[in-house]
Formats: sequence, C-alpha cells, structure tokens
Amino acid sequence: MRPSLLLVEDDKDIRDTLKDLLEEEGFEIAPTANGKAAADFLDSTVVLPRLIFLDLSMPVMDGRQFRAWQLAQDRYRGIPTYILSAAGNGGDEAARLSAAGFMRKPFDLDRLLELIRPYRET
Amino acid sequence: MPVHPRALGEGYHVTWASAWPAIGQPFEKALGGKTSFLENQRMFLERNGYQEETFFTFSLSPIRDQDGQVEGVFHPVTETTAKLLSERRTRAIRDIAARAGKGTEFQETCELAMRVLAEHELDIPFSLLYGLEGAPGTASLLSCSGVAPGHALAPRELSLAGGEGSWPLQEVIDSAKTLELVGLRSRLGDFRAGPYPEPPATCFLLPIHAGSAERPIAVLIAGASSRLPLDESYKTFFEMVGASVAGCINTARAYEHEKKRAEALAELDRAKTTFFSNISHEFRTPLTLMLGPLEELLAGKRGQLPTDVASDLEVVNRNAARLLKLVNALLDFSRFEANRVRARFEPTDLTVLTAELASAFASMIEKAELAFNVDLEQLARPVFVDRDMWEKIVLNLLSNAFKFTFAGEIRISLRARADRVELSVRDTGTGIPESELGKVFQRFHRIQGAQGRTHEGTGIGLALVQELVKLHGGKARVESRQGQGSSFFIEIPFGSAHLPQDQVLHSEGGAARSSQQALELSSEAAQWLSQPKRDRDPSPSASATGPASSLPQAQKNRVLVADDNADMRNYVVRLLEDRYQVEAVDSGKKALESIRARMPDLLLSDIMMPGMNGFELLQEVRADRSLRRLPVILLSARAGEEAKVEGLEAGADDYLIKPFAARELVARVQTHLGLAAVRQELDRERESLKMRDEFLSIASHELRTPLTPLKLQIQNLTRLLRNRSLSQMEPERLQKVAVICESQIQRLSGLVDDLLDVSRMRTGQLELKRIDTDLSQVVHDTCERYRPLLKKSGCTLSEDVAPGVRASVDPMRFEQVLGNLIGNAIRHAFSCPLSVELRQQDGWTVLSVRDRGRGISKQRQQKLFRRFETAGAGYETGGLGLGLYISREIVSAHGGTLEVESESGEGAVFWVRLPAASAGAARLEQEREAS
Repeated sequence: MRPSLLLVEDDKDIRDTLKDLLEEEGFEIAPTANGKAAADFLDSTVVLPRLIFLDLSMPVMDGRQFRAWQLAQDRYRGIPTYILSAAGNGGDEAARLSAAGFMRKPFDLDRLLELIRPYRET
Repeated sequence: MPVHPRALGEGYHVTWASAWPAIGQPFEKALGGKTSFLENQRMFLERNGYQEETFFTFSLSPIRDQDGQVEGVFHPVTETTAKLLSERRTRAIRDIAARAGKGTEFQETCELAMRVLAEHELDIPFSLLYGLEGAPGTASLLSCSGVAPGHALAPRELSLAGGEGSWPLQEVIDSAKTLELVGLRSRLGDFRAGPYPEPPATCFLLPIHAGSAERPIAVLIAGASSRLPLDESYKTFFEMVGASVAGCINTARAYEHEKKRAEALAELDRAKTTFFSNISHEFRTPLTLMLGPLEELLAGKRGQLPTDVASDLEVVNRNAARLLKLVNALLDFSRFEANRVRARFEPTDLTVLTAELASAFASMIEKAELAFNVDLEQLARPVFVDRDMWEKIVLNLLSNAFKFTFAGEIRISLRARADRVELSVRDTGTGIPESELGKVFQRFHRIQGAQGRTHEGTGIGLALVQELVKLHGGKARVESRQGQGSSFFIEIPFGSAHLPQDQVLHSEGGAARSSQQALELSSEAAQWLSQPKRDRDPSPSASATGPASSLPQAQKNRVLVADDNADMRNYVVRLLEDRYQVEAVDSGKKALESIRARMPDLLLSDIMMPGMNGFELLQEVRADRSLRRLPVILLSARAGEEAKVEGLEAGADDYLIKPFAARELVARVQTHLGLAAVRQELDRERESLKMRDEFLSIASHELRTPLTPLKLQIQNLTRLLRNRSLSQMEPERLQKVAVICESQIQRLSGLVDDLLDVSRMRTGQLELKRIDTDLSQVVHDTCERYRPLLKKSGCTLSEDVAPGVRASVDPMRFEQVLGNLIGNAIRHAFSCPLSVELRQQDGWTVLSVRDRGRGISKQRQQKLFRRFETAGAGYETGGLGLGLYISREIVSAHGGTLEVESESGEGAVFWVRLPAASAGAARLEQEREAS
C-alpha cells in the first residue's frame, strides 16, 4: 500500500503542485484547505497518514489551532508534522508547536524529497 | 544713616567721600558758577555700612549773593535706584529668554545662559550651573560666569554628599526649593568674583526642573552683589532668573529629544529600504532560474514540444522576462533610495563597449523598418566608466528611443569634445511636448498622452540614466520637438580626478562582459513589435489632476488668544496676525468653547481673568484627552508673582511676564508651534512606519506564496531534464505545469504592479491617459473577464448597466478600479451573489459593486482605504491590502469619489462617483443630440 500524507494548505496552487509532485514520488495525498477540513479527514479515515504537511496561515482553522487540537488527541499526536510557512519566524513557531520540522516557503524540491524519503519505505 | 549725625557741620567732600568720584567734578563746577544736571548717576554710597550701588538724579547750581559771588550750592537730589535696578533686571530676564532661548542643544543653551548672566554681573556677580544627570551622587559643572571653571568656587565635579567648603546641593534637591546661602566668606574663605573687590556674601541655589519632574535636573548657583541690598525685589529677581534659565533648558532638551527620535526613525526607514531591496533579490533568483530551463525547452533542445504546450510556455517565458525586468528596476530604484550604489570606474574603450551594446539592438530596430545609424568616433584615450552602469545608460536610451519611434531612424553617436566625451541618441519619434521636457528625468514620470509601442514600463529608466550619469560626474540633457523627435545627450569628463578615488580602478578589467542586460532589454523591446498597435487618442489628454493629498501648503497656524483686557488682546493679536490666523476671546470659558469647537494650534492665555482663569482653563485642557497636546503659553500680569512656577506645574508649555517684548512673544509662539509640529509629524511617521512594518510582513508572505509552486515546478522540470525523462511526461501534465507557472507569474506581476502604483502615488506621480470612453462597454468587458474566477468562487454576478454611458477616463485605470472592487467582493463574500450597476444620475456617473457577504464594521470602514490596510486579522483574506487604496487614488485623480456603505452582516456596497460633465463627454452628448 502507498504511504499516505495529509496536506493542509489553503493556497490551491501550492496544494496542486505538492499533490502532483508527491504522487509522482509514490505517496497517496489527502489535500485539505484548512485545519478544520484536516481534522475532519483524520476523524473519518481508517488508515492514518504517515506524515502531515501543515501551513500556518489559513482561514477557518489555522495551523496553530489544528496543531493544538491534534496534540490533544491520543490517536493523532504521534503523526510527524512538518510546518510549511512563509513566515520568517516559522522555525521558532515550529519548535513551539513541537513539530517534526520546518520548511520556509519557497523551499527547494531537493530538500522536500530528502525530507519525505524516510517515509517512503514501508 | 551712618554719616549722621557726625556729618553735621562736616565738609561736603568728607561727608560724601564715597560719592565723590561721581559728584566731585560737578560740585567744583557749581562753585565755579556753572550749573550741572546729572540724570541717573550711578554712585556708591556708604549709607548702610557698605558701598551701596545707587542711582541719583540731581542738579548742582550755584547760589549767588548780591554781588554775584558764589556763596553756596543748591543741590536737589532724587534717588532713582529702585527704578533703574528694576529696569536692569527686567532686561536681564529678557536677554536670557531672547538669547539662551535660541539654543537647540542642552550644553549650548547652558553656555548661552551663563554668557548672558556674565553680562549682568552687576546683579549676578557669579553663577554656576551644575547638572545632576551624570553619575549618581555627583554633580558636574555645565557652565559658569564670574569665575573660571575649576576655581575653588566652581569645581568641575562635586559630590552631592557635600561637606565643608562645598555647595549644599543635596539640600536643594531634597527640598526642590530655592536655598539662600549666607556668610559665603566664612564658608569658602576669601575669594574674588564679579566686578567688585569684596566677594559676594550671599548666593542663591535655584533648582532647575525638567517639566513637572520632582527631582531637579540641575542647580543654578547665583551670587548676590555685595553692593546691593538683599530686598524682596532682588530675591524675586533670582527666582525669575532661575525660572527663565529652566525655561530655556527645557526647550533645548525638548528639541534634542525630538531630534534623537527623528534620527531613530530615519534609521528605521533605511532598514525598510534594505528590506525592499531584499525582497526584490528574492524574486530575482527564482526568476532567473526558471528562465534558463524554459528557454532550453522552447529552443527545442529537449525535443519538439506539442504546439499548444509550446505556446503556453512562450507566455510563461515572456511574462517571466517582463517580471524580471520590473524586479530589476525596483532593485535599482531601492539602491538609489538607500544611497548605496558603489561604482567601479575603470578605464574603458568606450567606442568598443558602446558598439557592442548598440549591436544588440540593431536587428530589432531594423525589423521594425527603422534605420539604425551607429556613428561612434574612435576615442584617442580610455574613459573611466562603470561598465554595468554605462550599459544601463546606453540601453535605456536606446530602448526609450525605440519605444517612441515608429518611422525614420535612430542614431547613436559618440564624440570627443575638449575635456569630455559626448554620447547622443537621436530619434525621429513622437517627441516630447515642451511642457514635459523638464520632467523627463524624474522618477516615475511618463509623458502625458505619448504614443508609444507599449504602455508597460516603470517610468524609472530615464531617471536611472540621470542618476548614473551624475555618479560619473557627468550631465544628461534632452532636446526635443513634438512630432519631430528627441535627442538625449550624455556628457562624461575624461580622466578620473572628478570621481571618488576609492571607486576608481586603474587597470582595464579585461574584455567586455557578455551583455546579459542587452539581451533582456532588447528581447523585451522586440515584444513591442509583435503586439498589435492600439488605437489611441493621439492628442495629449487633459492633464490629470494630482492626487487629492496635495493640501494647500501655506496653511497658517491658528493661535487662540484669551485675555479679558481689550487693549492687551488687541496688542497681542496685532503682533501675531501677520504670521498666524489669530482668534481672540475675552474669557476662559469662551476660550474653552472655541477650543472644543475647533482645536487651535496654540493657546495663549492670560492668567487673571474673571470667571474661569488661566489656570483653570489650562486644567480643563490638560484633563481632556483629545486636547491634551495643545501647546499653552500663559501670560502673567506681574513680575515676581508665584504664577510662573505654578503655571509650569499646572502643565503650561511656557509663560511670559508682562510687559514682554514683541519679538519675545513671537519667538516663543513660533518655538512652541515648531515643537508641536515636530511632535505631530513624529506621531504620524511612527504610525505609518508601524503600518509599513505590518505591510512588509504581509508583503513577504504574499510574495513567497506564489514563489513556492513556481520554484517547485521549475526545479522539477530541471530535474526531469537532467534525468532525460521529460519526454516521458504526458503533454497534459506538462501543460498543467505551464498553466500553474503562468498563474504564479500573473500573481507576482499583480503584486509588483501594485507596489509600483503605490510608489508612484506616494511621489504624486500617478498619471492618467484620459480618453473619451464607453464606460458601459468597459464595465461589461471587465465583468466578463471575471466570470471564470467568479464561477470558481461560487459567486454569481448580475449586471445592471445603462447603455452608452461615456466619460473621459483612463480606461485601463478604470478597469483596474472595477477589477479591484470585484476581486475584493469575491474574496470577502465567498459564494455570495454580487451585482454591478452603472448609471447616470444628477450630473454624476455612478458605478456600484454590491455584495451580500458578511459586511464591514463601521470601525473597519474608516480604515479601509488606507495604504497597507487589510481586512480581518492575519492573512485570512490575502492580498497586499493596497487595492482599495490604489482604487481610491485613481478615482480621486479623475475628480471623483470612492466610498463604502455597509451594515455588518448585510453585505457591502462600494460606490464610485465620477463627475459626468467632463468636457469630452459633454461634447459628445451635444453631437449626439444635434444628429
């Protein structure tokens, strides 16, 4: 079975681009446009994603709120979550949110591929 | 009198020995038969046990007997000491205010004040000013008069702990009151200070307070004359000197403080410019990276592309190149803003370099069926230029000539003159109207109504040329005749003596580098050829009105005068009315009413007034948050009253004692108006810097977002190219890549365009190309353009457009406004119905865009049109927050208004109102009726 990745990003072009690229790398992508949609997805899926890419600034429910919610759920707490943000202080923020890592937009494709490699092997 | 009664029967010159120097001679003259009249004669009388400085007016006339012999002397005497001393002391107080009050720095003011006191040594034989703001527990001498610094009286440093032979400063600090110190000689031993041989016996220690702070910031020690009685008026004089010096010092400190704040803000501003330049850099790298692979793809190096993919990629390529150009222009611009362009002047064969640059343009100019005449003289010696800058100069001039020339020729020539080299670029293009000639080198200036190959461009090119030429110590000028063409001349001196030596390299830096710039500029210019020429109104349009922000400059400051005495009121009004707009009232109550109705820039109030007096008025003003910052000067009636201290404590900015010199009044008023203006300016500046901070953070976010997919897509393409697996990519997938890239570039271009628009508006250089336009058509077309986006957002749009509505507008700008309003409505009213309405009503053309979204609160409505304002917290709704600001500026420049109407929860309506009776529209109206 293909490893799955939950993508939480409000910008449609970024979402589409990441979806296409990561699918080519052998991932199953669940694209969602905000924290609320991502939470709904987690609550309804049987197979949990292997990792989460999370934007910070989003409407309805932003990345911080989502992360707080996620950390309060035993079932989802352990999913490695990476923060993708354009904010200059995103690194600090990622640490505050106990994220697995941070990539500042715009990020390099190589860096992205390197990051997901360990999750590709089943 | 100590001479009495001993004096009775004593000889005159014995009795009046101490006054003899003054009256001896006239006395002898009277005995000789001549009358003397002496007015305000200064003399020292020993009438109180010491030599007292006194003034007398007297006459000495001979008394003759029957024979005409002088028998005696008639000697009536009037003492004028009190009057003369009072005048002298008043003068001293005025001098302090007039001269020390001019100081703008703390130390300077202290020295000025002591210099004035030195001139009044008869009343103040010595003075010392100790500052208390240095190391704790110590005081340091700021300035002094009557004794030299370092003198036993005037140690440069002083411990506050005091002790034998030291000044009891701590006592003054603790009490914050004036301290009279007697028995100086027994305290300090014998010393000499001031005009008389005997030292002063008494001095006063006066605390100098800053504003209403409790602890004084300095102590003024002022000696009392040993030859004057220490009466109430003398003591009051010392108090006034102290207050006067304090006033001057406070004003200087306020100046200094404001200056420091202004410097800090300027520093912040420089940081902002750097940030802008950094943003531009970030654009440039990914853009350059994507252009490489794109060009390779398009050149067919990786195999033939399907036609539709190729044409899509062509669009991507063209726009990316344009964006790169814009970004480069922004970058150059911000470098000049920051004044940190460093040149590398090296000896260059200018003929060769210029020929190379010109050749990049040749094919294109010829393709446009223009003659290109390159006439470069072989120069006998090298010229010191910065090669990159010279490239920019030549290319911008050629590109400019090409843009405005449709037939005939472009000629570039290079000539050696006596001490300089002259480059000229002549064209037979549209030319520049005479009225515009002076402005072509201004930043962001674009010629009104000029017919060019394109309307793209930043308006920075020629300004850049001029800046670059100036850096070379040269000159740029233009000659032009409308309809016949323009000639641009650049002159640069030979040699390197006129250049900053640290930027001069003396050996030539090898062969000319590849001219990347030339390629970029000429390929962009080539674009203009392939664009269909638009049919434009060839005559220059009515000049656009400047942005609404240009307020009348000569706005006079408003001063409110409150005094119950009609004569005084009239006097003050007369003194001030030349420079200010003055309003006068006769009571505190009326003053307060006037202030509340319309805040003046300064209040000048008498203290003693029936009803509400000056203090009460001041209290009311300071207690009201909205009035608090009003500068207040109090006028106190009598010298020496406690009023001044009380006045400053009550929060007055300054006080004046009547009678005051006209000049002094004007000077004080001017000073406080100036300070208030600086304060206001700083507040505004701070506010706008804060907004810019927030804006820059939003801008950074907005710019990085489209760069993310762009970078990933391009890097992916590059990776596939490297692996030679691009050919396995399905055409649909490849096309999708192109579409995503294209739309990111559109987003970035939109952002950069907005930034440029704002820059233009900031410098008041928004320009309109007004032509008679069918607004109905423009509105309809714009709505159509937005249909796909509307559909994507789940919005419906209904159009209610009256047919045939015309007006003289800039159609592209008008489209931009409508586009902004629709785009705004889509963002804020997701999935809601929108309606656009256009009609004519009461001499106005009215356009409205209505949404049924969540509406905008009243509070937000006020801020909506400000620069850098985005609705909602954070980045929720996206955008730079410039759209509405830009739209309003555009509408104002058309002489119209843009307003919003909204109830929370019930959607919003944006109204654009343009005066319908613009000349062009009216004429057409008539023509239509006539036919």
